[in-house]
Amino acid sequence: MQTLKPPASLPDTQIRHFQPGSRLEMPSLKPLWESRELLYFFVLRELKVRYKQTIFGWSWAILQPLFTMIVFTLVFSIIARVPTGEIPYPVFMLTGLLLWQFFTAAFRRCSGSLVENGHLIRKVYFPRLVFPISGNISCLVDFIISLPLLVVVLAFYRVMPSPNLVWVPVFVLITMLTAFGFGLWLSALHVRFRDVGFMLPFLLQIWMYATPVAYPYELVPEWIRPLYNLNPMVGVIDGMRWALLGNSGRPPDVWLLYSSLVVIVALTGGLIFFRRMENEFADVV
Amino acid sequence: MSNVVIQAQGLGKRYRIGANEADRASGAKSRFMRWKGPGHAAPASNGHKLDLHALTPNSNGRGQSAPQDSARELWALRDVSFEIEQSQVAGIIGRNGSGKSTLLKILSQITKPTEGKGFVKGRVGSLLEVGSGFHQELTGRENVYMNGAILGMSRREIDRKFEEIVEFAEVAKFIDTPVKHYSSGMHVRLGFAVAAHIEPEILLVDEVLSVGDAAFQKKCQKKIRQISQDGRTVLVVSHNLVTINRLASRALWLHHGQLRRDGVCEDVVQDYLDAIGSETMNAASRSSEHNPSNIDGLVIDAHPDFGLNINQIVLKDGSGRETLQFAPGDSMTVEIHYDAQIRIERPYLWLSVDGKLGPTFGANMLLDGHQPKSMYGTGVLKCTFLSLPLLPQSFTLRMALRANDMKTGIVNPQEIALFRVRGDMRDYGFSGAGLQDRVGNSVPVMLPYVWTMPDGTEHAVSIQPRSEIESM
Repeated sequence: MQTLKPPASLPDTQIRHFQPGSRLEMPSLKPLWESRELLYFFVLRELKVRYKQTIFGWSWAILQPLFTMIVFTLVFSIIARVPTGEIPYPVFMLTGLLLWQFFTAAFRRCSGSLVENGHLIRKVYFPRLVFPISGNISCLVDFIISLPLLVVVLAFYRVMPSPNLVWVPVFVLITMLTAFGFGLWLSALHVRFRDVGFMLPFLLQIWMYATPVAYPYELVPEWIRPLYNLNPMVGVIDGMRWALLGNSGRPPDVWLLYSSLVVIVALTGGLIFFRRMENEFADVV
Repeated sequence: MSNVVIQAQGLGKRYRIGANEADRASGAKSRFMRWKGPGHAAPASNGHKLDLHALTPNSNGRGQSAPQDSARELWALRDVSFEIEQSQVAGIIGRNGSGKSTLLKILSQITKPTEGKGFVKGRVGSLLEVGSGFHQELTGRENVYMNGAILGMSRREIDRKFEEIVEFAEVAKFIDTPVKHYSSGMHVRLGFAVAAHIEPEILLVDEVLSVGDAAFQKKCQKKIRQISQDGRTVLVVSHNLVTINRLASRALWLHHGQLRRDGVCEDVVQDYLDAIGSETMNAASRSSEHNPSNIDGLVIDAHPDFGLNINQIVLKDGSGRETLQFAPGDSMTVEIHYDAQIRIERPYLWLSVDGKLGPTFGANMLLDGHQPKSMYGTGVLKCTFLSLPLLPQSFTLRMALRANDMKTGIVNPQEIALFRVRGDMRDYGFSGAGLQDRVGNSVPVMLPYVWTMPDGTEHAVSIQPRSEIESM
């Protein structure tokens, strides 16, 4: 067996101090950067495990939005007759839905990440942010896999994507940050209050109705829009539609700036809150 | 530059405990607040031996005398300071709930201290839980990478050691099979193999020695000894005093969260044995977990072909009480609780009581000719030394079991227990001027003898309880 020579004298950089945690600070990025390989393994694990013991495997990443699209088309287009202009409802729906499902999945994975990995938190130390981040990234992979569905549906309805397409990554990024920022709050709270786990489905349901996924923004009464736009996903979903279709949704405007601000506040607060709660994860989880 | 690699200054860790009375008295808000307490959340964790479990106020007297600021708080650790230098091997001993695991958790940064500070210098590897990062759905190979990364290895490092890890774990054939199909033994072996190859400068070990089968435990011990010989620093938490004694040169004794003693391993272990001995006098019955004579985590290594497990070694004094502390002249019964899966015909048992200077006396079936007809299923083999002719010192008990051919070692000679003889020799009529100084260093065995002085007076000396001397 290989042996390690005794370190002659260890560099001081290897010193790790421990002391009572302070109340308000941002998580330091250095240990997180050092754990990037671990992050990679966690993402890989999530992806490998997600569709184990399923018949359809990875196809679920496409089947889920497809089924949802069919159901929503039945309810909102055929029964409720939601007007979507010259865009066929399924196209309208899917452009918002894919991003929304990415958001839901990422948000859910983030929120539950600490509790699900409680056994690790109690036994090994590494930057705890690895858990919510890996949850988030693994959902992005699913989102990318589901994109061909969009191509097929667009082709089927003979809708040409607009040149605004280049904006898509921006909206995807804002979605990720939104899911991450709010997910951080909930993941830390979830450790203490398992109520979060029960609350989450309702929260997401309400959130979806407060987002123009199944209906166009124009149906929202004027007077409530300042409040409505507090939801960062409003501008993002509409922006995504604009980027893909050109003649639907809304181009990036002042409202998008407004929601970006909300995201930044939620994210910063989330990081500080997470950092503060981090001290007791191992004791409480 | 000093070569202190672990330093702790006034470390303290407080846990909050849900206080039911207070909650019942006040309204919904406090009931809501109670959920915040780890005392509520922790028991849901699946069976991990968190200190907290032993910390509920009623459990085994642990909580009662612990320093508490209020009913809702409990200090699992308080005011603990020490320094450990490079390449030292230190053992941490103490009862369940004395703060041992909490200390290791602080050192490995899993949890933060409530007060105090300190540092750890160098890469820390912890064997806190073997295979804890395994995911059941992933293959052995995937889990090795995953677990290695969790424990702080880079991908390149794991690549380099992969073959070695698999070989050590003896799971080469199943390395691409999901871990959920592994036997528990394979699971543990693979977990330990990964952890043992981190090559940290500081290794923290928590009770790893009490999981798995005997062969695996032996492998663990061997690996730990090798690590310490490489000049790395090792901190071992164990109930197994024999192991601690064997591995460590220094011991820290935690008692109710405080550092009761810190010093040369043998001395601290002896003091610890004294203390648990005297505690037994006060408590008539204890749970097996707290049974002082059952040194849990003790590894008794038996020849695998004979299917023999030695579950427990129990020592009892003349009144039948389990203890590790005996009065001079008292009788000592050694009970070997075994489980023989294969019938063992007429084996030979050998016991040896060793003092500081070496073997003193023993019992040997090869000499006396008495043998059990067979050992099969669960059973107990006892040997009672009717009167311990021993001075107040500490002793080690060794055993061996040979097959009927007198050669094959079913259990090769090994330490199975530590015990202490304690008493004031003046109670036995000893009154020499050098008694206090020398009683601890003399040859411990004292057979009854008689001095006959030139004037014809006779003086009998014997280690017999005083009452028996008087009646003679």
